[in-house]
Amino acid sequence: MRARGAALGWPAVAGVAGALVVAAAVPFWFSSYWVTVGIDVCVFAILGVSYNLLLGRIGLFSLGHALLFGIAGYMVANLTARSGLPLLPAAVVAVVASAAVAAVTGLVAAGVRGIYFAMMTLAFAQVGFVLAETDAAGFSGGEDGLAMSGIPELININVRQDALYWLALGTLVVVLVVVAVIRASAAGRLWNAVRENDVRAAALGIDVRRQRVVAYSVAGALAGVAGVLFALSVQTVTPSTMSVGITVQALLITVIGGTGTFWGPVVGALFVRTSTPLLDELADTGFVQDMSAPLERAVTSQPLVLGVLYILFVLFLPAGVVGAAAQVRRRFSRAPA
Amino acid sequence: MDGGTAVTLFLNGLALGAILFLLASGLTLIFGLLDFVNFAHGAFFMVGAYVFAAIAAEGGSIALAFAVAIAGGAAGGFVLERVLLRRAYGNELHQFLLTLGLGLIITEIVRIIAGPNFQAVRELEYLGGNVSVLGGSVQEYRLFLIALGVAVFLGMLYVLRRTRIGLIVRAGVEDPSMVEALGTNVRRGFSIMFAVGTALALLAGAAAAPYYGGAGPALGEEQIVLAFVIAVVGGLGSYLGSALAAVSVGLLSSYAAFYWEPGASLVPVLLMALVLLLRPQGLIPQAGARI
Amino acid sequence: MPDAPLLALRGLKASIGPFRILEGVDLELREGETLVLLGRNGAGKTTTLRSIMGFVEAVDGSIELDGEAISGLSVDRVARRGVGYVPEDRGIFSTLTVEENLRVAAPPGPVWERVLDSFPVVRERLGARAGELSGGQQQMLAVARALLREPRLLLLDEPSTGLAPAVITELVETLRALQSGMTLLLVEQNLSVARQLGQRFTILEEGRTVASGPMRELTDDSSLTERFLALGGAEQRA
Repeated sequence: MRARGAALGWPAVAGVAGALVVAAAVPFWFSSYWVTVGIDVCVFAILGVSYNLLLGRIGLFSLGHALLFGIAGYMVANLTARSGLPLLPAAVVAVVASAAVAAVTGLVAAGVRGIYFAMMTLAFAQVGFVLAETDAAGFSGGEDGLAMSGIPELININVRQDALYWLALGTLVVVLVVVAVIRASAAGRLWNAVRENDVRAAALGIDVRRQRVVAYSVAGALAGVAGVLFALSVQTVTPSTMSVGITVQALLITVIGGTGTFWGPVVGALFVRTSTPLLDELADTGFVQDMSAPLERAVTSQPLVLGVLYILFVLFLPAGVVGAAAQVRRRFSRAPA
Repeated sequence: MDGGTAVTLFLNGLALGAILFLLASGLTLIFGLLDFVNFAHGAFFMVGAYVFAAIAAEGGSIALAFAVAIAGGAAGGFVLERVLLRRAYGNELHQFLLTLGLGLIITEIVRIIAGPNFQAVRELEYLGGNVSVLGGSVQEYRLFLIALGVAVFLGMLYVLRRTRIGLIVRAGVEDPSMVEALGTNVRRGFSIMFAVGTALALLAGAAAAPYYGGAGPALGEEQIVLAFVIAVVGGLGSYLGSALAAVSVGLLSSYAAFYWEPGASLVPVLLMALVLLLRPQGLIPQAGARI
Repeated sequence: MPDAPLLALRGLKASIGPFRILEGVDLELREGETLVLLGRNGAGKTTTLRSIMGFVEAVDGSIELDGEAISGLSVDRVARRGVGYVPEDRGIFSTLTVEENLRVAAPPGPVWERVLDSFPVVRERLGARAGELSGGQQQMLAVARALLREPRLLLLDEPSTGLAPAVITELVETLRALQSGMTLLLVEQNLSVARQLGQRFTILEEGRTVASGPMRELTDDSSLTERFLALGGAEQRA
């Protein structure tokens, strides 16, 4: 049983606590630019956790995760800017909205085979994206996006970044605790069974459809949380929050980090979201400047580098970074695995 | 809406349907026979559009552009299947993940080589003018597209119905194990089928470039949804179904877009949702396909 | 001097996924013979046929056709070595016509004439869509199709399943007319059909061979049927 810190022994707990302290101290050591990156990492780690719940736990492959992310963002923007609702209630409503959309999608699509489910989610996300871009339903402000209002000065990113960072980090910790509880619970075991062999699970009496809808709703809520935090950090919600690109980020984070592992999404988010700023720094180095132009572009292209890495992981290291690390650790410790 | 506009919309819809048919038929062929989901299919389409833009944009030979697209697609598809994709047979999730990543990489490589901007296709040397049909005005090239779509459709129909290869493909779509038990190695045909499917995707892209006005990196992303919609609505693995669905979606989109611009994007998606809810096996169900 | 067997299985073990189905099957089939493979549901009869054909990989043991090992060969290779297969669900391509079904096996030629002579039902309905045929007609089609390849060894998995008694009679007659020139490995639950067609038998239980011998032993000795085949008398209808 892999509950959080399954080896509930000293090293694991100390390690986690240490990492948390280091993470919380980031605003003291780094420039505001990197703190902003940190906020982004936390947001996408939550999104990754949400996606991992689907892909790695209940075994649902979604191509439309962006919808759940973006809906929360647009919801909170609409409620604060147009309806004048204070931030906190607006945020709660937004998260519930994401969960609701997920529940509906799940009810419609949960009984069908993997490829059809993926297509349905993609289709719905596309609808959302088009509606957001054209503002056909009146909730998006079109291509320019919709600006939030009512953000307290404490977490206004234009004023200071550290409080928002700690909020994001704290939310991530809460989300991780929630997921740890789920993993250890009966529901978590049921979901594992469904993922491994849904036919056998059904034969064992598990209501596969219902579990899928529940799991999808929970994942939706988590994606909504990420969406709200994201809206807070960018302050203007644009159609790109519902684009395929977001779903791809979630997928990259999950797979590179390690599908189905607990820490995978966090590691993956760290990796994927810091890669752009890091690659930018790499582009400025003399080593890269000396390369021929196409090669230089190739080496500094985040999508390409990550894409190649992703394929390598899919082919050779399906357990992701976390899984690979676990394998290495097992190999070096003589203790029975 | 007057008669002339109706005719124009009708012909435009058919032209769009032709493009969609070319695109989706490759996908449905690969899925029907190989039971393989290829998310990189949209990226192949995009590459085809760029091939056209590179060769025929400034008045170069359209035939050459098409030939290169087909040959390149066939070769590329064959190699890809052999080297990379056959590792994922039988594991659906693996196929999703692998082909999605492949599509990302291909898109990005094209973006790096050709730049992130839309490459416009300027005046075509032939087929560039407009023609008046039954009161409506339509671009010559679009009539050509319709003809191309019909030609490919009839050609493939002939291969499927009248040749031994077509027979094996049709039997293999339904029950590949039984075909093997009757002495024919289906697996060797997979590489060829993949090559054909990929070539069709590139041809579709090349043919579509003048229709969309050019080539851009985002082309693949938009079209992959459409391709799957067509394949699903038509019935995954059903060749006739994909033709029927492509024409339907093309016409519906054309008319819907006239009244409401987002309609062109929304109609196919809503159609797919409806089909998946009410008749998941598609318009023309394919025996042997699993829902 | 006894001929070497055309087909020999020794100690065959096979698994499907994590489940071990065959625990050690021994079987010998001489040329020109009809051997019936018997046993309860789940004993491993179908898996044995599928192992011979190459659909299931052998974990241990050997499969030899005419002295040559064929275990490990791909299905199409086994088929080209002269093994024909009619699965339990018949494996008809329902969207193809009857004629097209036959064509998958072999292009039209003199063999067609010979085979269709024995299967007038199939000849009558060449243009029909195979999915529209009745169960009995489909069974005839499946056997005719397999015969078009002139196999040295034909594997038949429960051909009488789901057929009306009159149709079964017709099927048995057709097979009896053919069997003198062929080697047949027949899986059957229907003991009457087994007795009419089989010259020898082998009984499987829980993936192992538990008994073997000439068919007359099965008819004479009811203790065998009781011990290994009886399922509350349901199969005693004979």
